[in-house]
Amino acid sequence: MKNENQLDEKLASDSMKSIAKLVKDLPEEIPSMNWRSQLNERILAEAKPKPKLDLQRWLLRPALGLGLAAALAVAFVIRPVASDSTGSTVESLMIATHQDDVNYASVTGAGLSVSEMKDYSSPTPVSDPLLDLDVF
Amino acid sequence: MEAGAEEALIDRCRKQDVEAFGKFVDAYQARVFGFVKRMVNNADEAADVTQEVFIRAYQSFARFDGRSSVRTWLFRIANNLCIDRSRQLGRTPNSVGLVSDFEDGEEMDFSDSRWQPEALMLDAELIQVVESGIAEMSEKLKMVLLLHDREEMSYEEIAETLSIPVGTVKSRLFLARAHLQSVVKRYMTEGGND
Repeated sequence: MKNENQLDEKLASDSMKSIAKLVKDLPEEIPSMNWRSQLNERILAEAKPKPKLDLQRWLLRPALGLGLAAALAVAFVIRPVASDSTGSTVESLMIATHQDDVNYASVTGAGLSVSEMKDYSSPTPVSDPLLDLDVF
Repeated sequence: MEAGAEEALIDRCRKQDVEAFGKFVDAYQARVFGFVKRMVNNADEAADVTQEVFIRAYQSFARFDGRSSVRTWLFRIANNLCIDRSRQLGRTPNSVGLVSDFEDGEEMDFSDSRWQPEALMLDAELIQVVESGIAEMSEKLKMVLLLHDREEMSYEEIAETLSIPVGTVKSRLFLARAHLQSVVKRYMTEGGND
């Protein structure tokens, strides 16, 4: 066919229309009752899981939300601020030292602080022989 | 089915209403089964494929957007499943030499005095001849012929269903009808109606 108009004319011809009518008038066959009942079973099987999935989704959504909210609350709100001095970080040691100094100062008054005091109860031997008076 | 009633039924089907879908199946089962049976040329296989068509329709009804008619949508599913089944079974397409016979603009000669198409009456024998003629066709010709002449779809609807240009729909329809004409003519001239 050279163009669509020619094709339209051909398709509209009586002989083509009569063939179309033959095709249209072919008998229709209805599937069996057995076929239909099988299809119904399959459709019902398809339909059943859907409500379960929806129910699960409706139950899981708030549960997941609550769980997430609880985890965030534990992480950022309920957990106490790390201010104890019993830890081993530099900050903890500095705070502990400061608290000891304040305690000692309140008992002994002004003077050397605990951290500044040296223990003179067991003098270390002098290593310089010139200063060692025992040799004389 | 009236347009309003069908629209209401489709709305219920979109919501996976089993009862409504049952009515939808009632309305279309014979037409879909007829189409599929002529496409696959086997009644048992057609029954399986037709069931699959309706199961797919049920599963995807929620996604049916109404841009095309529900009939176009349903036959698109049917057509795709027929093609898939054919590929799975490794069938080679029927190769009636229609394109080479008529694509050069050759006029078909139906001047035989016994060729009086307007007088054709479908008796059991002629039904068999027409069915055989359809069965001989390639899938491409067959699907256009069935969708246009049986399902009364417009060229545009068929073009949309098969994702082909309207011009291709027309040329395939012409070739399909021309093949049937030659089959019927042969039957009449060889003594079928004598």
